[in-house]
Amino acid sequence: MTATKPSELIASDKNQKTQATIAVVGNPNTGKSTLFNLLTGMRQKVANYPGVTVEKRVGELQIGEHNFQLIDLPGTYSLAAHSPDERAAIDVLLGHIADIPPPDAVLVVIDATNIKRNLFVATEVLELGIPVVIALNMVDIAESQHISIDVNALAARLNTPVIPTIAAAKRHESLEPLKAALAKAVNENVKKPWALLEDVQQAAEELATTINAEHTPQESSIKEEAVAAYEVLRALVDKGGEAEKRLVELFGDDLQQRLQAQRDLLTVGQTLAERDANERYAHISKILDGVVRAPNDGQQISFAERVDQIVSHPIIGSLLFVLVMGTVFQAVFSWATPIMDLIDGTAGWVTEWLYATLPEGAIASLLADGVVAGVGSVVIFLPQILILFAFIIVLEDSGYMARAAFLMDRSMRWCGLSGHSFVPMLSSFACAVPAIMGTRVIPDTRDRIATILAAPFMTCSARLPVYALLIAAFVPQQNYFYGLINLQGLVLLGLYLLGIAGGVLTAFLLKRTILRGATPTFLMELPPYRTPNIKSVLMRLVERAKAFLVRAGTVIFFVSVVIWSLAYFPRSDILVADFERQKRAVESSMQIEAEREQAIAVLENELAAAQMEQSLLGRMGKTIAPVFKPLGWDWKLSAAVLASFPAREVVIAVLGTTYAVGSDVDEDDEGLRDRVRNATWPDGRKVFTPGTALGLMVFYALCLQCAATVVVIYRETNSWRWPAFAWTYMTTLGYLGALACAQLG
Amino acid sequence: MSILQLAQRFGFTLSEKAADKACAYEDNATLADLKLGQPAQVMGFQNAEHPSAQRLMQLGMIKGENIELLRSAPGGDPMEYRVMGYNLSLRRAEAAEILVANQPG
Repeated sequence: MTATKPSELIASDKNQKTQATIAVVGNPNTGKSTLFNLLTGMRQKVANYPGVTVEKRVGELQIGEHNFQLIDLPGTYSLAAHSPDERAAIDVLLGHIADIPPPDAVLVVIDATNIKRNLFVATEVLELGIPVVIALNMVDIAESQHISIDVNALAARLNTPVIPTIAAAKRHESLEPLKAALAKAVNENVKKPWALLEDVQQAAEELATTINAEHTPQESSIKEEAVAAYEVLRALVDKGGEAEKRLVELFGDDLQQRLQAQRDLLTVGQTLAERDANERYAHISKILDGVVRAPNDGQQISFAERVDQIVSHPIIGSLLFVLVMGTVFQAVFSWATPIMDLIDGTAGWVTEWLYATLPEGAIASLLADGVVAGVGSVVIFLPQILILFAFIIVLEDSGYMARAAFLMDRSMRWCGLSGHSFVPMLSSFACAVPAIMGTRVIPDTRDRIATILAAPFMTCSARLPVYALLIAAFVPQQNYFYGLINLQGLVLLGLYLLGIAGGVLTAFLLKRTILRGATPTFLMELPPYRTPNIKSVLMRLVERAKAFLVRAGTVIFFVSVVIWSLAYFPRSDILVADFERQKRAVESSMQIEAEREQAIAVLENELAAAQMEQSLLGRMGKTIAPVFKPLGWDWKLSAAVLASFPAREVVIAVLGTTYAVGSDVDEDDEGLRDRVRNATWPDGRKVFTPGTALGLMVFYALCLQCAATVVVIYRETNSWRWPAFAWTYMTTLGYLGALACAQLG
Repeated sequence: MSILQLAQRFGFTLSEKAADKACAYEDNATLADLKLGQPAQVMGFQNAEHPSAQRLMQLGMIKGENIELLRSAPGGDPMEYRVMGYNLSLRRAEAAEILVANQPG
């Protein structure tokens, strides 16, 4: 075993030094992410690229003994970048991302049913000089459409391996040829990269050489050793694009003039972008001539077209859309309820058990009211979030989401958004967290941020119990029109409309002020309908659930414990001693057991209320009460509102404690309803006037009282700026709304 | 608005015989003028430096490429076209940037 071939030596050497990196590039809707998921399995890490909202997905692929790092780049039609988000792909390919080495090979996934458009980005990648493997995906679908492809001829003409793959690769073996090709590619070198526009390529190389000679790494601020010729090429072709911006940032305005001078020399009759696109498609047509044979266009579109005649029909399609969304909501609210009740019941049972088993004191209270309540408040939303995510992912993968965006674009446009924002906004009526995570389908960054900031206004399922309590307590049961219209229902409807108005106006204002920009385009592919791959759907579902539990869950849990300690400490021994004395008096004076127990329960609740009053939270409530005084709130209400900033539904439990009816109340508790209704100021005036009560509801409608949402906004916008803005803005709006209502008396 | 246009607006495809296919479009017609069942071919852009021009070309709006209007959304905007073997949706404003002509023959 001495005769090791030199090439194998190099190969093993390369793999020992570093783990080889493979970037995965392709158009949207090519099944690229599904293929990535099937290749890497659950060994994935998801993060954001620095400074942008694009997801960075890195997975590991084991081929034989070698481990490869796979990077799934965002789906793109071209490497041309005109926004920071679009830059991620080219940044990775050129090795500009700090923690990702320049890729050793690129896997380009193309859709066999639409090779022509898919080859646009593929031929761009071939110009990079990195070894390329092309996965000709969905060959099974192409076959069913009677499209015949001469794979060998295609590979020969592109001068790169082309491996057919099928959309729903169930058996792992079917990916073996692709893996083998990738393992081979990482060790290859491209001798002379192919160039589409040779004169532009040459100019780019010359300019790159000049820049590199003028700026040695020591004196320039760039970390990379050299400016790549391809980046200069992109800067020349994509006038005003990201490549130009980056180079000008690094080397000054002088470079912009040099780029323009080159452009003027190279531009004859048509812009470089025009030349690039025209000649590339001409080249692709030549490659495909005789390689791909498709039946007449009219025949192959028949099925999708027939479906679309119904689904995208202005009237039938709109009705169908209402039906689909109705089903989603029905599922979110009714399917989730039994599971949520179960979680609620379990949490209650654990709490009781803890109190029964552990000695009375801080530990029992921390575990029961801090830890269990904290975990419970995270987990309780998981069923709804999972159901909503499942629907969103299936709608996306099946191609329906694009139709929904198409149908809704017009109605969303007047508030400055596009059809892409509709489903995230609608999801927000269940929970803002999955809605905000769902804004990833929005291609325009400004639109996406506007949607993220508008979504938390929608009446989510956590606002409902708060509304239910306040409406039941303060809105009289009055019927109009022979019982057809009920005042309580009317108020609830009003609160829903208030949320919608708040969101829509916010988007409207943002798009006209800080998020102003060129009218976003609505260039959207309406992909063919496809059956979602169950494995891929489940993997994404698990990933999103994990993201929610880890990112939002840890924060909510931490904050719950903080709120618990604020409400628990300090404990007053005097109050306890007082309570014991009264308890003994009750025990000795009352003979009937039921009466005695009831009296003791009342005493216990009064003790809890008194402890709350002198706890840190109670003191904070009293300290902040002057701020809320104009709204007509007393310290009890102020404390409850403060405690509900991390999670709005907490207000019910805190009000339960401060009004001495116990913390294990729910929104239907009549005791709490009565206590709240009859609460008075020290001088005997009622705390809750109609204006105050309405103000409180308006406050809860407009305020961002949800730590999970704040954290998810941070995660999705990749900066604390937007969550800070959203919180401040919504709290201010809530305060002003409540203030206005308080003036009603 | 004629009954014909009204019917189109509500998504009813008309008989293709109704219109004279050969000279359906004027000289400076754009994608926004496309009629159902009357394919055209892409001629270029009103303004090649339009911010969306490059992206549109990459998506297949190349001179000589055949294009057909499939339908429009409620309210007549956005529109859905078939080009280069797939379906693409554009707003009317973007569609009006793209010049079209009658298909030859």
